[in-house]
Amino acid sequence: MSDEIDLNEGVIVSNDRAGNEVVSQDTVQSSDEVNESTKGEINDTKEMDASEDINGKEAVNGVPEVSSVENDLEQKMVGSQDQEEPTEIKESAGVDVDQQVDTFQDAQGTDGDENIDVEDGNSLHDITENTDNLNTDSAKTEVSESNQEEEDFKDAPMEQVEDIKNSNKDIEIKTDLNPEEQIPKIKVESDSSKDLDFVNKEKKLNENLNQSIDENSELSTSTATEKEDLNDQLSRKSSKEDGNSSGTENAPPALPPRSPTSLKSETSEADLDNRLESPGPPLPARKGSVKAVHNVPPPFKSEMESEDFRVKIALSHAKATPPAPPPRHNRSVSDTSNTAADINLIVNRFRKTSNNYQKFDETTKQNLQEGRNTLKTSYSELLKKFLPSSTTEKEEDNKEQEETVETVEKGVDDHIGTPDIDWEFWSEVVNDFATVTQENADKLESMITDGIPSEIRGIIWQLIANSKSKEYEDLYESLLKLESTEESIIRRDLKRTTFIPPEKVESLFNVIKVYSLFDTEVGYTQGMAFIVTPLLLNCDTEADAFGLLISLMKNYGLREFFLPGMPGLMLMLYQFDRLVEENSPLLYNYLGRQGIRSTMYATQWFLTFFAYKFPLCFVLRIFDIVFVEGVESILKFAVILMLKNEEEILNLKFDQLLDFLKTGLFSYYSTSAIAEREEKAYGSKQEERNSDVNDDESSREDLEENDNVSVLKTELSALNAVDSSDSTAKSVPNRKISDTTYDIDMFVHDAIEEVTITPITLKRYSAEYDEIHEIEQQKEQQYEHMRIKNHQLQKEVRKLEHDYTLLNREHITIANELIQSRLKIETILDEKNDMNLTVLDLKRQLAEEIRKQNLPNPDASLPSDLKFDLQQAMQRNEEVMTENMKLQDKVSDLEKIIEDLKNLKPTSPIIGTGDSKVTQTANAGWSGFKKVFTKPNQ
Amino acid sequence: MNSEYDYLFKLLLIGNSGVGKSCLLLRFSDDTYTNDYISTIGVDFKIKTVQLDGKTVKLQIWDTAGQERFRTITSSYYRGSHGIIIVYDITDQESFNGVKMWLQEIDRYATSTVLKLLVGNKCDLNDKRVVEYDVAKEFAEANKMPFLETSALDSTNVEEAFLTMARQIKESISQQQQIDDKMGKDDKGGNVNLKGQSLTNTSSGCC
Repeated sequence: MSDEIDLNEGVIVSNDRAGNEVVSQDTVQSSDEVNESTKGEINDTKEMDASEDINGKEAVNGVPEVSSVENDLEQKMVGSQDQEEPTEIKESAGVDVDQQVDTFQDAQGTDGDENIDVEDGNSLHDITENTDNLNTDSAKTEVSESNQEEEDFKDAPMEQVEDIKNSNKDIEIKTDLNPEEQIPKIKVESDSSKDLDFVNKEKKLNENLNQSIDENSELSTSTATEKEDLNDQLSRKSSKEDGNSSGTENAPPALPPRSPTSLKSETSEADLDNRLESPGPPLPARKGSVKAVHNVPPPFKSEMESEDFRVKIALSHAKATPPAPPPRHNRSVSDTSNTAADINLIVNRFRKTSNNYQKFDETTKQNLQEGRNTLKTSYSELLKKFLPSSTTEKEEDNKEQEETVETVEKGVDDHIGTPDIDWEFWSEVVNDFATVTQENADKLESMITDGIPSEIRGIIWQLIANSKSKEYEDLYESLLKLESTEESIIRRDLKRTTFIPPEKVESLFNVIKVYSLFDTEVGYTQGMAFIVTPLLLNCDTEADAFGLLISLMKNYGLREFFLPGMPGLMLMLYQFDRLVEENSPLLYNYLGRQGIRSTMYATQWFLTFFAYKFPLCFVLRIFDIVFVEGVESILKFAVILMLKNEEEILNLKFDQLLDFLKTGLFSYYSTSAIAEREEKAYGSKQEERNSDVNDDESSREDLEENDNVSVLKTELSALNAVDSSDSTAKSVPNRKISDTTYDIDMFVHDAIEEVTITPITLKRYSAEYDEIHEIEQQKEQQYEHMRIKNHQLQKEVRKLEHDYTLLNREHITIANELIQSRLKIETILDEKNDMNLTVLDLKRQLAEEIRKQNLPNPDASLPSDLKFDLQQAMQRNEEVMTENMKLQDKVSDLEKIIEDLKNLKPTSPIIGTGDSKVTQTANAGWSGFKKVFTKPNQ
Repeated sequence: MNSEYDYLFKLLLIGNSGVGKSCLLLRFSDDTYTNDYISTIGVDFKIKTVQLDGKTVKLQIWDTAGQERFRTITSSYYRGSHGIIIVYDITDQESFNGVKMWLQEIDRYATSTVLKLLVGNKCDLNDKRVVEYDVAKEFAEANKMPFLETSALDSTNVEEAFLTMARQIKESISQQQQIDDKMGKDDKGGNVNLKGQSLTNTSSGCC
């Protein structure tokens, strides 16, 4: 039935229970149970709601009180679980059964807020109608049954419940159609997936139910007879219905089909208790088993520190793992189913595998199914070989999936080479790995830790990884013919690997080549050879190894390790760092201070599953774990190696340290080192023994442990001896050496037992990593961006610088030019001044000239002929003058004569008269001169 | 001053897958040779102390995986390196063509002052040679790095290659020192700074 209904139904039935409890107060036993269960419930509720007044009520412990508390609780649960639950249902508590069923049906009708609800409600009616015997009561039983389941899930976070719902839908809707036909139909389905024998199971279930019903009716004698009858009738009908429903619920392939019958009957009993027996504990023994330890549960974190608790959680979760709700078994601590996967790597791994399986289409599934069958056949053949005396038994066993202790004992006796192979267990694993993971996870872990027997290792690997399929084989054959571009590189790498037997090299090449063709994005990455080699050594055909490789890559996520950028590897390196940090901060810090990063040494560990430097026998054991627990389990080995070598590491400096990390870590597990340590421990323990008795004990324990280890070791060498005689004869010498030198079992045990890695932590780390990675990427991008920008800017700067120099040069030339021009100007100015001066001079001269010219110049004005005239005149004048002079001389002479003459005449009258006569003579002279002077002019 | 050595140089070997980086390193550090050397996954590391002009020089040599896929891991080792040796295979044209790409990687991840050296390995296989000496020499000169042809098999030039690198670094450091001295930053020897310098520190210091 749908969980959607279950949600509603849960409430109804709880109310019913509460009501019934009121009726059956006188049943001491049941009331006690009620108390206990109430406590449990309270604890549960507190985990969800932490309601204080429940505490107070709990203290009272009275039955009526308890029932009322229960009522409260139920109401609270209603509130916390399904807010949409109509309140009328609560009110109906305590009313008789029929009425409740009515109410329920009303609720179904009213609560039809989701389609599935309505459908399932209808289907419920269908069932009622189809099955004549069934009335509303039986429907109600069905309801309460589902309720039980629901209670199993009620602590789970709602989303998880929803998960389950979703995963169930398909199957449940199918069941609605025809309850009569549905059984065989489902059987077919489950046959194809799980080899279930539902008919048997159903029978058993019915038997159990009837049985429990009898018991129940005994118990319920105290209740009203009418009610008893009702219940009786109801239970009878419910048994049928139960059979049906359990059949349907078992349908999903991941379900444990072969759960132990005892468990089953208990479960049914318990459920019937709940359903029919009013005072019956709502949640029987299981509450006491886990939850009742703490009235107030300690914080989850502190609880997780206890190994016990983890185991319990893991166990309980493992039980609840299948996608469909498990058939109600009382051990399943109501809690969640999904969280199991958060705590247990095995469960986590199995869940992933089956999820992957679910995603395949039908043909693939069928192929895988066939592959599984083939593997099973080869397994049973192997069994025949190893257990010849019990062949027939074995075969039967295989088919009926029931192993008898006898067979096992015989097997052990018969086969000397493999002294302690738990054939029973491995057969179980072969037949139904799903059940083993869910119900026996701890045993599985311990068995795997001890190592899968090498005879069946390949088969077990393939079964666990769900890798054998005709499809892959065909694919392999077709791809084998093609050529890969990486062939030459692969060849070259293989040429330089020595760890594989020579006749296997070609197979190794083929597988790697085919994979590189199959997954071109991954192609070929160095290191793959190390992964493929162990696969090849344990598979009969290359195709099988190829199938395993595909499964590892795609299903187990190894692909991420080899993709460009290696995101998976980077994540795992981070997870590794964090785990080291968490487990030994001292070591982590020391490595950090030494400048050693995990990429320097752990890369090879993770990419090759330690095959790079470490002996092959280790690697096989690691592969065992990896196939069961997932790739993450590699971290366990890595961390344990670091932790065990802590002391050594802290004493080394960078150079030696890195070398040690790469090659020396395993020497811790060399037999000589172990012996040395034992001796030391023994010595120190003896000293302590003297002082402290307790220490003595612990030392003894230690010694015992060591003894165990050595025992295991001898076993292992025996195993490996067989192993080597098997398919891998060529690698015998290598392995022999490593067997004698190393204690592999101790290593694997340490890794598995001392290092706790839960998927939830890993998830946290991976979230951290994502964050960091994102930031880093952003930084990287920024850096890249800056780089580009810087580049551009630098270019620009260079350009600018260039421009600048150009400009500078230009500037200089211009400046020079300027200076020169200035100089030129200077000279020009000078010249100009000179010129000006000259001009001025000239002007002056000119002015002078002009002035001169303007000045009157007689010489100049005289014409030349005049000059000549003048000169002539002057000459003439001179001549005249000379003539004049002559004449004057004559005159003087003449005057003298006159005088002389006068002197000769008397003087008296002559004097007077004489004067006048001289003057007249002078005058006459001058006039004569004048006459002469003027005469030439005329 | 550490009495063990005067200088510590970090060298990085890069080059295409299969050119013989690991063999070269093995020849230099241990003076041995193996033909079937397992391909390097991630990074490998060797130490060798040499005498150089009277000084003890410790060489910390990182050998990287050549396959492109591993670049995510190997790229972080560029930053702390003082010298990077690019190796190619003289019988493999592809590996020589790859040198250009490796130079880009250096340009991208290493510090700008890092010193480079081009090495053509497998020169014992002269009859299979496809990359001519002159071509490589020219290429090296164009990219301003010294060039050598070596053979890890017969140990030709192997020591020389590493010593050339070491000498180059030493010179550049003493130059740097001189510059520092000139600038008055007299803090007693740059080699002290180099010592104890983890890869992380250096890498974080440069971007």
